[in-house]
Amino acid sequence: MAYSISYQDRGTFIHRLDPRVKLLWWLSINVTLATWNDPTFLFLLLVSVFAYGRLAGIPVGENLRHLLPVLPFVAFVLLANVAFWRPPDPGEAHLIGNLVGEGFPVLPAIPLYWETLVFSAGTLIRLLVLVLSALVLIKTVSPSELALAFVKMGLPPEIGMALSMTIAYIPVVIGQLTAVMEAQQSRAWNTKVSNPISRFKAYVPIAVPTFFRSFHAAEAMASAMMSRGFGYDVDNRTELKPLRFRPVDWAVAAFLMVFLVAGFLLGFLGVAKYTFTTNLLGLG
Amino acid sequence: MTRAVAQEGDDRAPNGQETRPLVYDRVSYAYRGGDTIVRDVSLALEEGKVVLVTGPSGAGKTTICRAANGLIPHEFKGRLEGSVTIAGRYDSRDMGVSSLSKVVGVLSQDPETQLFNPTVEDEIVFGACNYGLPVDTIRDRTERLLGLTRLGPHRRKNPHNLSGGQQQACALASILAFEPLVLVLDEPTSNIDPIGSQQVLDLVAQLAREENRTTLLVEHKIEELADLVDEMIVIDKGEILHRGTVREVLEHVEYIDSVGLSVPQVTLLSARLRTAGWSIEELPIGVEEAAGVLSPLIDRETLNRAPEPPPRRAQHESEEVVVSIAGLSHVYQDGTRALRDVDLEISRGEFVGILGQNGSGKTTLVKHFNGLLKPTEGTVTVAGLDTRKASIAEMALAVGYIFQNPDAQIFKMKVEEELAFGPQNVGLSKEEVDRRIKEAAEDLEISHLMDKNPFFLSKGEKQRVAVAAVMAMHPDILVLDEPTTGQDFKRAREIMDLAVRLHEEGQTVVVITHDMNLAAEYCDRVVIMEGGRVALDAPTREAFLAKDELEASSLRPPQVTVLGQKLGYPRAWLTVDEAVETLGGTRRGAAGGV
Repeated sequence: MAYSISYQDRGTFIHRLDPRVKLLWWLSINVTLATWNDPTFLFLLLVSVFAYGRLAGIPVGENLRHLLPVLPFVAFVLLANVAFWRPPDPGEAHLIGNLVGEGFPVLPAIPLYWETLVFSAGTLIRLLVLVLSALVLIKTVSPSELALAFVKMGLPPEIGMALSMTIAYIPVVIGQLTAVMEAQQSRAWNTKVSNPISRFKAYVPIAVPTFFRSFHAAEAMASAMMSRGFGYDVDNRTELKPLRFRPVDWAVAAFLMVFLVAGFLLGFLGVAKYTFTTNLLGLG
Repeated sequence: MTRAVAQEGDDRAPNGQETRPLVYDRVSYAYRGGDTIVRDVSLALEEGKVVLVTGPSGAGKTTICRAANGLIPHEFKGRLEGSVTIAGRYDSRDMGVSSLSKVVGVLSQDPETQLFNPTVEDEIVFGACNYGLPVDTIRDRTERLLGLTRLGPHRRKNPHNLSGGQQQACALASILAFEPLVLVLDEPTSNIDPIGSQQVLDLVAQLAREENRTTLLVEHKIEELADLVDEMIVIDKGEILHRGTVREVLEHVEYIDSVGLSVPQVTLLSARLRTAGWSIEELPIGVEEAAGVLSPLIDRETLNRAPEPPPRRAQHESEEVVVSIAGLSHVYQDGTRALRDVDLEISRGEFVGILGQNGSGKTTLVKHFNGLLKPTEGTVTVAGLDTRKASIAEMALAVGYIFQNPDAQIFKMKVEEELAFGPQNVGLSKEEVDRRIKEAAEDLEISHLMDKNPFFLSKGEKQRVAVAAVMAMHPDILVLDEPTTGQDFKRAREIMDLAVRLHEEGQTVVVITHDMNLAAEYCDRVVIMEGGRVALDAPTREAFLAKDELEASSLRPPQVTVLGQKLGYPRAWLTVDEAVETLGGTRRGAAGGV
């Protein structure tokens, strides 16, 4: 599990692209994401990320499996949206009913509108796209490529290397997290408690050992890196595969730029707004 | 600021004289806020020689390695006295780690934290690229190293997906790629299985013989290294106890054994016999040599008739089956089939060893005992519970699982609270929790530590806390997961001795290990796993005579067992004590007794 979330050279067309092009893909998805809130548009965006992943040799099933751990968080955001998001003009909105009615002790009335459901569905998909695009990026760009790309884009080499090492460190932390969870489960550790505060507290036995072990591992990794000349003479470091844009990189980059601009405009001009779907549903 | 070092090959001192590649001159070191770890150590590595440093846990071995390339004093803060000089010209105080590492390549014991590149190839070239070597040189060296380490077919793999031995070989290759003058290897085999260890040690031997590489090697596996090493140094509590050739140092084998170091069994056996009056001039190191030395001294007829050694301790086996596994198969999410059709029964009160190489399925099997893994096919019943249906709390009460590293579970600020965590989780009353933690603390002799913060305890004490925390659950079965991995011999023994004490009170104990000496010394029955199946399930003494099955699983019986067979003993010795006892009555021309 831990290492399947790291880069694997699957030898596909995507893997051979210049890392800057892959960063541009990620950027275009995420900029678009930030400007859209319509679930139909966002769903298509999610499909495009799955399709990009498929082109990179990552089976849809594998990506779905890696989304599973974030589902509780996504569900929480969905619930929060349903409970607290109101259409800007509630008078014009379509009321389904009240989640909590008038006169309920302690809580105010919580009305539920069709618009709220549509908007919340958009938020849910948006989160999934956000996570999935990051996962696909990690799986398709090697940490060293990423470092090079950042350096080529003007970042100091030390920061580029530090970033790439952070990504390389993820599987180590996941491996440690698994070991800690197994150890605590063997002492009947359980998170199945309903109270959110107790639930938060239930994760302390996992968080504390993982933090300390990760800290030690990071220290050991830093020593190992320095013992192999990291930071020796960053300006004269040998690059075995210097980055060069090929025609195919230019072509894909141009396509992504068009996508980025179009996506941004669709959001900016209000086309990819949640009202698109409410209109489709005949709620306009 | 890093200062550049001179070009490779220029290892002469400024005055033009030939110099030692690595010199420690009266080095003492204390980590910040700690006691002195290394005291007045002087070492001078000769070019092309291999120096073996060995010693028990806490002896200061890792500190010596860290001082070689400047990690001490630059990254680990503390008080350094004396000096470390590299290639006769660089004082470790004056240059940074990355500069010194160009001359002194240091490999540490945990492969996982040394691998941070996406492919084996990227990992190997990482250092060479950092040092700005020419592209063609790096390419040539990488190809040569891929061949030397047999990692060629894995060059595009993520290093984390390699076996332990391959990972260490990959980390070693990444250092060799920039051709440092000196190699410093800090227990490179302590976290890997016997096959992996052999791969790494073979590689080190090849480098020493064929490339004449100056090497400082910290290791416990004296037996495998005896022919390779030019000088052996035994260190304890930061001071050098013995130094000389392997043979010279092993003349003190009984003392070295007494400080808790793993020593070649046949050397220890011969030393004990010599102490008892046998005329043995030079202590042997390997089995063949020992057979040659002892054969003329024993009466084969008497040895052939010698009875089997008695059971080592009271047997508590009852009729009650506490683990029952039928037709168990397990397939991981990624499609790896780790277990195939395993049938196994363990009775209450048994002391069982689950043996096998990495990837043989032993850990997967045992993780089914407490429900950490659920069967893909078949059934697992533990203490009457079907593991597929039982709750986490029920399974935790049935099986106490002691993991390799106590740091994986310790999270409370007081030992007492750490011990109470499990019993509280299963909903016991406060009185019962208090009673159990008091009892567990007394059993594990940690009552005096109850108010201490477990994070600040020594590793041995932490291990006791971890065991006590599990024992406070009163489990039906105690599982020890690889007690020797990442630990030294002395600490592994401490944990096993604890298990023996608990077993004597009737506890069922299951040990997962690839250490055959440990299994021989402690287990009454062994289950040998190979390719996800049970290859052999028999009483230990019987199993260790099953040469073919052991060979098929790439396992080697302990030295004394093999020696017994060579000398014509028809049964199996499992420990040096047993061999001494039997041989005592077979000495040619003696009345008997050691």
